Amino acid sequence: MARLARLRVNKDEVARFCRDLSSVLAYMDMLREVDTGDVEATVHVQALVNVYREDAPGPSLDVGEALRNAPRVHGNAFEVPLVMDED
Amino acid sequence: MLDTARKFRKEDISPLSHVEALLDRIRQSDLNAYVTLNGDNALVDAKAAAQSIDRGDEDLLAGLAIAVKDNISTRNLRTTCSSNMLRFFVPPYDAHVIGLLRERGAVILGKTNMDEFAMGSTTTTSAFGPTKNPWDVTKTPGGSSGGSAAAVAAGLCDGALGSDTGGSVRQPASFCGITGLKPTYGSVSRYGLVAFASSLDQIGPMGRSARDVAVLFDAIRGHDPRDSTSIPKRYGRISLDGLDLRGVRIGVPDPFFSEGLSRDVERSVRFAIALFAELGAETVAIDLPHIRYGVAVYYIVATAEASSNLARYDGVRYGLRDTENADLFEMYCETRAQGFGEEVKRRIMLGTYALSAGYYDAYYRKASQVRTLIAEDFRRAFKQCDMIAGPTVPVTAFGLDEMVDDPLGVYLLDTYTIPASLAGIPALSIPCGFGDSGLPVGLQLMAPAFMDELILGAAMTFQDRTRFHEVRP
Amino acid sequence: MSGYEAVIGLEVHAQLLTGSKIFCGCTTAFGLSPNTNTCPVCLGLPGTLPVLNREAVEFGIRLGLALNCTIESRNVFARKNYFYPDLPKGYQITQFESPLCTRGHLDIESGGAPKRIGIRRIHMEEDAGKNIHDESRGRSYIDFNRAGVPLLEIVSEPDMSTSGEAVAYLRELRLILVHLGISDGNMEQGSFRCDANISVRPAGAAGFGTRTELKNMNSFRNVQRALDHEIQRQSAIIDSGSSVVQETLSWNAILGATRPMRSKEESHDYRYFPDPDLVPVVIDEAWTATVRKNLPELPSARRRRFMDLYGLPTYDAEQLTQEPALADYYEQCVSLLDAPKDISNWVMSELTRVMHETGVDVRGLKITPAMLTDLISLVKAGTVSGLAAKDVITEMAATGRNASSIVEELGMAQVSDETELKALILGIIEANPGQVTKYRQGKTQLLGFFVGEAMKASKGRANPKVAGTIIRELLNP
Repeated sequence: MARLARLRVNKDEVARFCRDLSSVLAYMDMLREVDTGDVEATVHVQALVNVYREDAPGPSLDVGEALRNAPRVHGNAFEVPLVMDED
Repeated sequence: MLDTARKFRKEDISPLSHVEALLDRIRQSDLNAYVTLNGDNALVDAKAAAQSIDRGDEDLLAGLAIAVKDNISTRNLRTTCSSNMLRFFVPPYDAHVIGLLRERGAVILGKTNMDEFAMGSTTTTSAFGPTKNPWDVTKTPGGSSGGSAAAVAAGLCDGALGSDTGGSVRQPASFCGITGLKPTYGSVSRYGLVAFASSLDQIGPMGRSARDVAVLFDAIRGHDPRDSTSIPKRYGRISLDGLDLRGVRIGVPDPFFSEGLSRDVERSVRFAIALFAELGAETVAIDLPHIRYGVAVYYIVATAEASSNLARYDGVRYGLRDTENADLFEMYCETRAQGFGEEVKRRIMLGTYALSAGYYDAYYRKASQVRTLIAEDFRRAFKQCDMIAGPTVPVTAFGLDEMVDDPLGVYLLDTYTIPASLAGIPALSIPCGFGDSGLPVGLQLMAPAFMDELILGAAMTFQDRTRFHEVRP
Repeated sequence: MSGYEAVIGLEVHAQLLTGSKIFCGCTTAFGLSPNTNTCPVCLGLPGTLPVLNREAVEFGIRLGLALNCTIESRNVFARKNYFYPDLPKGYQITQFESPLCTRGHLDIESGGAPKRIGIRRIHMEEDAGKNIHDESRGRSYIDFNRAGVPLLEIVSEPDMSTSGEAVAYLRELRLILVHLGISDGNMEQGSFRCDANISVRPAGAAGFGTRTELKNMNSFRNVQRALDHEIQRQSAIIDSGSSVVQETLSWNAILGATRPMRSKEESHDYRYFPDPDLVPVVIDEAWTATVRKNLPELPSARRRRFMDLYGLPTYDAEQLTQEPALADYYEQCVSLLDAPKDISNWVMSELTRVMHETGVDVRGLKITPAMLTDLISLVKAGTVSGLAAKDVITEMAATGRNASSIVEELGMAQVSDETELKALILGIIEANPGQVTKYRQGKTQLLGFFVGEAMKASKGRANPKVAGTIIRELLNP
């Protein structure tokens, strides 16, 4: 799970998390006793549909603002360690 | 707030000196309610408000000083979500509600402390240290909007904005003896609210009275085309008259008064309900059969959405980055390990699990179905009553160090607040008494969707007849 | 190949020609300076939310109808969760369980016979940013201008059996996208991208072999090469008694080979769930009917019409419909001058030549349909020779002046006047007595020599037909 979520956990943390998560998950199991049958899953609590914007281009951020919080920048691009794979 | 607005106009005080005085109080306070003060800009805005008042501006909000929870984006003013990950993050844009407040002449006083990324009920998971409860500094103010609640209670602002996903406005309002509203989902824009659980999050106004909360709510509610889940509804000016309670049916749910509810809390809440009856309301016993699954549903749905919402914190475009690493994968893992606290990590992992292959149906989908059943419980209940009343939290404020090793125990404290979030209906917490330890007790009122003004009105009437909301820590 | 047949399915991503991105108002213009075309939404800043561009849905419906799909009246967006630096939110907004269109088909020609390729689904999603790699420094640079550009993903059924069929499918799909005006189909610039899923099995067998995924084919030729290479590779593996490994391969055009790619996620667990920030898209009959009514003529219909109405051969019909603007231009010409084959020849040869030479496309041409038909009329009337007309059209393309004025100014008018030509030819006959004798002795093919001389003497202006007739007359008393 940590790998999938890109979280580094050390050995002590693994133990603690396992314990905490197990107790929480055990609690969640109570949902099994609910008969949900064909009930529709809630994705949105309101019945809104078809919310759109018109296809009109608007202003973008100034490149300085876009990069303002960037940890590392190269010219006008965000710099990261080499990406090993390319699509 | 209304008093202050009046004083501005009678020239008893000027907005500038009002804001200066508040800033002084904040600097001297050791409640740790604020993360960042908007010092210089607040003074500039106060001066501007003063001028507009002189010119005859009748807007109640002009010159009033509002504290903003630090997960609401403020342009050029640091927004950290009380996380190491965003310790130095300065947004280039304002949240929709901030734009609305500025338009109305309100002064943004500063950003308040919170549980990291709004995950928590104590404000102890903040990367900037916990906020203290003004009533007893060894106690938690609640969470995750603990900073905003403490600021309101201690008179460190005129009003505040918090956010509520499973109770994060109402529970701290209850612990700090103030009034806080979680609006109908979709009535306040989420654009600019750093997402925790998208289908549950709402920005909520907090103040020392229901009328203060109503004034703030009036300013921030409304459709925003930048939020697809924002309801396209027009609102009139909000009413500040109390609700005539004669004939109003108040549902009292059995599940909210079962074991786990502290005796002293029950006492104050029942007293409040009795007072409503005295004022003409009719009480009706109701059942909400699926409510007891609420916490389980919430902690699956909310953590699942959160695990996805927090994936953007990868150190690439903003925020903390672990720069030691030459390897991208390692960089992600280290950055997120250092940037996030334990509670956030716990919830991300839980959420990731709930969505993962093989578990999606059993957890996320199942929980979403039970959520529908809970919403239906409310719909059925509202056929028998106009609003529902009960305690906001089973207990009063507990010690800052308590419950650190018991995450599940903390989650269960949200039992009464979670259901309204799951159903998207409005819910309000108002002070209704004091517990054995002298700490405030909160009464929660819930209404059908879009009936926010109903419970605000009922609260105004209650507060016209009681003094709980006027007691100061 | 040793008795194997291939089973090929294709996934195409087409960038849409909307004015703005799919979930925010940034423009979709290509080639801007890095990160100058971003906003809080497409950068994935904390607190931002997506709002759907209606035009993207419209384009999707248009394509769905063109590909004979069912338009799903209620469709939903989902989050595809994975980590990659060009993915700002740590998830891509796409459609998973309920896509915009399903169950369509596209007809191609395979070995002279029509073949129907099934379309499994079409859905909307957002594009990611672009990575530029700098191996020498061990760094990558990310540009988010492209993040949020709308895409339609078109997934075919695995109905193709050869690389030829795959390319035919891609060509026709691309043509449809261009004719519908929803994408510019540019493989080099990345607005039309293709991935393939391919397996082999003994010819005539029923089941499916293990399939591999092929990526990074950036031209039709490379698609062909890559698929052929992979069919070879898989066949050889099976022949040698081993099994094909299910993996993703990247095509290297320079080496002409594939290499395995390391997967983006250890486990491809994208943890799809419906996006709570976006509400469902409900498409009613009225909307679909309007799109259907306004659907531009599809390439296959247009080709058919060119062949039937104008009597053009298949080749001409295909060439003229490569681009809708060109086909429009052609038809405007035909409406002005009823000479469809002549016009087709001129458009395919000389007009195309001058477009290349002046670096414009049909929209940038200074030569209007009226101007072209004028020129063609002049040639047909004999006023200008075919040869001279090539120079005239070059001049027209450069200056925008009409044919008549150029012909007049440069004195290129073809000389057809018999008297004038007779005088000229008499002079040639006089000057070449030897050839005259040979001709009269039977070498009638020397007619060509005399006509050539007449052309030379008249600086190409002599009407060769008329000259030839006069020469024959004069040499055969």
